[in-house]
Amino acid sequence: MHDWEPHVRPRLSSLRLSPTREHEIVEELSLHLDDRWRELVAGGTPEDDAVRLALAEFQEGNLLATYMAPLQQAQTPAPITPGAPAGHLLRDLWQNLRYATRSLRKQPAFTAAAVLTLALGIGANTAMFSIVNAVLLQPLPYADPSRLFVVHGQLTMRLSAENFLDLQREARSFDALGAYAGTGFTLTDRGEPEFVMGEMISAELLKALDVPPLVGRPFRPDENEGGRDQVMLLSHGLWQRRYGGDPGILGRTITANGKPYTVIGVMPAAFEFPQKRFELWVPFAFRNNAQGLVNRGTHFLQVAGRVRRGTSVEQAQAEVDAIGRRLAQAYPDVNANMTMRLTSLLDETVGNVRAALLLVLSAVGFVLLIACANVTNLLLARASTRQREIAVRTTLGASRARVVGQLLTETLVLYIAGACAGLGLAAWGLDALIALSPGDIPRLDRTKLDPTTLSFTLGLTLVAGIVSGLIPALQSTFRVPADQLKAAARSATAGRASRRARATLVAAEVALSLMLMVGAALAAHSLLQLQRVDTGLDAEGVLTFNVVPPETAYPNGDSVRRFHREVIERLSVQPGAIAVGATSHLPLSGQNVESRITPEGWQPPSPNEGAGAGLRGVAGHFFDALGVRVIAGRAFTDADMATSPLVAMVNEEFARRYWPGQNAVGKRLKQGDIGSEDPWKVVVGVYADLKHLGPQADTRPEVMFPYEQTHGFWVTRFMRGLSVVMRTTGDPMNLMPAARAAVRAVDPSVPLVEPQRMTTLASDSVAQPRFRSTLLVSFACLAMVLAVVGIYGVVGFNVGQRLHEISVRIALGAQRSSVVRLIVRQESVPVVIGVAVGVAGAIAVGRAMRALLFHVAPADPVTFIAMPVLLGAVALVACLIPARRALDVDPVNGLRAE
Amino acid sequence: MSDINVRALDRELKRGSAELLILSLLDARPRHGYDLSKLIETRSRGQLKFHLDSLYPLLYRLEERGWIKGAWVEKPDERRRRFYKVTPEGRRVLAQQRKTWEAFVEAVRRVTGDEHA
Repeated sequence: MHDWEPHVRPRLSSLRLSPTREHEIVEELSLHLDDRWRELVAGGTPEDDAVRLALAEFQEGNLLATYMAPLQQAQTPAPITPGAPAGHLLRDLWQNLRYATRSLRKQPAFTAAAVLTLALGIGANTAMFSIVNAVLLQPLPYADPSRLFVVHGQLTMRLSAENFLDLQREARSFDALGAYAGTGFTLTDRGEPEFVMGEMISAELLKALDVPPLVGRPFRPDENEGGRDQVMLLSHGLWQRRYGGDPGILGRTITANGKPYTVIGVMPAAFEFPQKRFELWVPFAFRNNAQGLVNRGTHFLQVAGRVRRGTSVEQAQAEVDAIGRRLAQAYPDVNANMTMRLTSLLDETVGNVRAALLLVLSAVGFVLLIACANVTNLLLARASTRQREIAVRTTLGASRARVVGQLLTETLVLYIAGACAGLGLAAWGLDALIALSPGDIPRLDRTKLDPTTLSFTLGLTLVAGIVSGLIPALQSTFRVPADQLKAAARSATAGRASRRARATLVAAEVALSLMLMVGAALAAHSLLQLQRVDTGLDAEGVLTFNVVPPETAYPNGDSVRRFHREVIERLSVQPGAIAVGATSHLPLSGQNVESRITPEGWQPPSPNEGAGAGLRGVAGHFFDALGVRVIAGRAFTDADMATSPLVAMVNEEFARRYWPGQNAVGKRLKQGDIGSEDPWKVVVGVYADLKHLGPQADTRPEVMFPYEQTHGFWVTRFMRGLSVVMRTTGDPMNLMPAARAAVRAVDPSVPLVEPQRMTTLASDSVAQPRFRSTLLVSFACLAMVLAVVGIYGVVGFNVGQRLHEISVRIALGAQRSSVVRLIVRQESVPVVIGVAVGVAGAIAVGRAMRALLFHVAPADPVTFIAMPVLLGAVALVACLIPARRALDVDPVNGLRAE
Repeated sequence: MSDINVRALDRELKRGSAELLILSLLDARPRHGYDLSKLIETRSRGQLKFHLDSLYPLLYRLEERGWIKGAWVEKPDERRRRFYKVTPEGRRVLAQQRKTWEAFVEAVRRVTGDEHA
């Protein structure tokens, strides 16, 4: 039959016929033309003339299209296959979406792998970002919080009361400046006595924070005077918990630390100042009738203020500097080198967790990058197997933009599916993260998947999806379709550019996961070092709790000392108790009080520099109970009473620093400077360094005094409450009921505060480093698995593409083992490059983490050798498994496949 | 034939005659497109001729209306062809159109007959 199609089909092209229908019509009309032609030829017409005459069936103009245009079959919607000219934007998008979903559904394994990979990456990022958002980014719950600052003094970060009052009086840059100091309160007004943390504050503080009470009134300035200070503001939580939200709470009297306080207000639920655990506020009495103004040399007040609108931080800081210089000049004995520094209240609240959170956020960022690299690799591999399809579409007239748009839509559908699954993972993972986290991350409980987090996830997904989708889309549409068709027809080796892109992505994945692995290993090593730190005590089997005898019932040193003596005696006779002691400052708890000390015979390097040391009072058999080693001399005994010669013990650091190379036992020391009236005490023993501020803190010089010999002023002011330590047989918590009964027998109004195993305290002291290294190690493992899966996939794909070449090699007599070696050698090039880049990146990671490391060098050689070797080995296996497929290649089949 | 108004008659004259032709030819037996065009040409002794580009759109239109139905038929040693046959609906329409046509012819005869009577 003559080929009539070229004459028929173009006449139909303007009609939107379905391909099948168009094909039918072409066939039918061609038959008609052919019948006519045969008839003419049979009638003696020359063949060429017959063609011309047959085609005369078509009249002038395209009447066929004109007559057919009104028909329904000419109205079918354009096929989804992007071959038709681009039309309406939204319709294109809709078509692209439908086509993408269909094409992804056809390859469930590919789709599942990509969506799962993305879900892990996006889920981890969403969860971490929602934490960072809640903890670091959300503004504080105060009006105009960017104007709120704290004023830090040097060293202890705190100011003395008199310095604060001067600052408050002179500073013009602030709307209000307030002071606060935390303290414990034992509530005994009803039911079981309860211990809660509270703050003594100045009235100006609430003005500075600009938070009115939910009910009642704030403090008045005159309530910061002794005698008028027995009023109290409750937190919303305490009001609900202890007083059942009693609407008649205002005006009610609450007994706290034995003193009656009148409730004048309840703060709103969101008010957590300075932290959530502080549940009540009382005025700080600057002027006490008995003692006059609180002295200038004791720095214990924290200060916060609201900078005046229109005043910059720099201006406020400059003014504070000037006041500091004046105070230093006016009171050189106590204010020498005085400095005051403004820090934003937000930094003060979350500053100590910022570095760790951002580190973990970067880690999950790396995980996402690796996940994206994997998906991009999958897409590249898929694109190269779809070259023929793409070439056909381009030939049919689809523009490059249109094909890129189509491929990009597929990628975005994949990413959005991944994001949806990731959100599910994040919702679940967030609870796990919060459960795993140490209790001291501020505002962590406010973490939720809110609109900000969702926008973050959406933005992240779109950006990652577009970047990840553009690479394969641009690449697969870059070549001229004719070449592509030919290449596809040969089904030969993948294009060189696409190969290079895949190799680059593998190298990037390896580099990123190596950086993450090194970071995680450094953090884990650091945690190990922390846990290995000799804290100087034996926490196993030790129960600890605090008891605070109230001021009203125990007004002086003697009564407080008697209370503690009785408690310890009663506890000592409990069955299961091996040794019982008590201390004013429990090791690992972070509690500390420091004072000027004069070690006999010590020469300060400069006249202004004094010796300082932490002071602790200890009672009972403290050293036996806590397992503290005595290095030289003896421990305190029951004989070291108020009436016996005054004695002291020092830690190794004290002996090393102030009496280097000498025997500390027998030396004398006293509190204050050389001229102070404090009596000399003889050092009777040296004990092993204890970690008071946690294992990562440097050891400071320390002095211990027998509680019985400690001055009444110190006992009532700084050492009223003691931490009891009980060494027990078996689980220490079993002794809790007995301990409670023993304390109740001495005074039923005194509660046991924070009873816990000493091992819990030891474990809590490394909770933050443990939290971050657990997270980093988990994410590093995830990164490694993703990278290995990526390498495996790419090598497997490459080997599959090279089966022909492998067959030729084997057919020509190459040893199979040497072929495998060749493949592994070639495929491992990007891994080696990745490791090299990764090591360089890891050095930067180590430097960035320096502040979070403990006794581990940022370029720790063990880590920097072990991690690349580990990753390299795993990557080699990932190369080797698919490469071994070459061993099974039957050269005949491999060649026939062509 | 008072039930046929003049306007409908006019329309049928212009557009319906071709349809009537096709339906009448297919009423006897199924035929393919070329067969139809030859039949019309020979039976009208060359007076009526359908070109390809008007015949087929007409067939497709009738098919869309459900008056005729096309189907590919393969016979031994022949290329497959698309044969059309009249549907029951087509038959009903054909009967109606024949009446209209007859009425028209009758009307014309009366008018012209009166003139020449």
